[in-house]
Amino acid sequence: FFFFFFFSMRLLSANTIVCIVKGCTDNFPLQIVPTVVEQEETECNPEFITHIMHRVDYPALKRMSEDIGIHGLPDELPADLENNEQLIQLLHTALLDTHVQQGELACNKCGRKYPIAQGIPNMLLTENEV
Amino acid sequence: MGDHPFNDLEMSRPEHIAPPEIYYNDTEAKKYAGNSRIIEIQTAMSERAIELLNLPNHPCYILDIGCGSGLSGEVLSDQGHTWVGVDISASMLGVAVSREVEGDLFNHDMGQGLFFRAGTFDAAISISAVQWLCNQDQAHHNVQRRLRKFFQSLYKCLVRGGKAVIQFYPENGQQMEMISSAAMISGFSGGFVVDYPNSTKAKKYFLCLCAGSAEMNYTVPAAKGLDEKDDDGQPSGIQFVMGKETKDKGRRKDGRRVVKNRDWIQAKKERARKQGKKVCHDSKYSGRSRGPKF
Repeated sequence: FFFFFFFSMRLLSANTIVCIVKGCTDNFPLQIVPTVVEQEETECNPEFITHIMHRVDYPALKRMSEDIGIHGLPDELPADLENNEQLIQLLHTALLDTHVQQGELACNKCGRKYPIAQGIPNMLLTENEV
Repeated sequence: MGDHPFNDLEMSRPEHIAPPEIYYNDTEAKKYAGNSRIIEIQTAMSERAIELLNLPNHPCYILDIGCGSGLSGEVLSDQGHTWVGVDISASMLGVAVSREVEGDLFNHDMGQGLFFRAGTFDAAISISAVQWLCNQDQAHHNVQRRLRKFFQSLYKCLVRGGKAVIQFYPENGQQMEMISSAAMISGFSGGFVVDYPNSTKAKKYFLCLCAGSAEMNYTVPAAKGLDEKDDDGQPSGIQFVMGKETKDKGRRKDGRRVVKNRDWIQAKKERARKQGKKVCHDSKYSGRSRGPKF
């Protein structure tokens, strides 16, 4: 069972998810309710981090990482991110090295919960939610 | 089975057997992990799909729709991209987890629409998955609506000008038309790239799409295998022979004659005699033509 502790949902993809239950709008971000969180150190690619930070919703990322227990992200993202190596490394840890192994994603608007098991969130909807 | 062409057809179309989440059970999913031929084909198609994406020269964030056991994702990881995979089969995702793929995995039905924020991904690929959408697996499924929902949500989650390459096995022209028109209605521009169109085995369909307005002038990349001098080891085009039917009249597919004359009958009888079977004796009537009928 050792492989259960490898790769699973990272904060980067958690930052891209919205609830798609029929009629539920304006529901970003979903709240992470983690029960098992793993840290897995990988090599930092500054080019990718600066590229993807244009798309990441920063306030949501900051809140999510604090929910999970990663502190130290600044309140606002500096304009010259490319030159701030320390922050890039911190963002890399938050976005790509933090894996939610078990828990759930909860929609604050409609209350729908998406369970995460073995690192894989189950986003399947039922017939009347489509 | 050989003389029943539909049998072969059914065998190669798993989507006719059961819905994907049921067909790809633990047994079928294991085949994907262990079968080197499947791995080879899937990897080659993924490489081609990524080539068709024509990605910019930096690491990208890519969506893999119908990622299955993560074979296409591994190609993406090898090229330095970060990816997210979506699949309906929990068993296939289980295989992906045990293979320790590097992407994030989600269990989801693409026909319900993707759940990503607008402008999330640089590009998207899908290998041998979209044909599953054309089946009505449940009573409440509406194929057209599911296709539209999929393409609309795909369009939304790509950046402007982001590309999607969708490889699939169309069952017929109607299905190709249905899928591509659903994509066009959703705002995509682009079209089909058919690699090795003259070869039955190597022929592959890639639907190349661009999420952007017409001013961006997206032209579909060129297909492989159109030129006879293709030198990358793949079978070059097999020429289509006009009038094949008339030329081969009186012969079977394998070249044998349909008419059985006296020589053929005697050779057959001789063979049977050698095997010790009871055979009618030869006479002047053996294998004689019956003459004209009224």
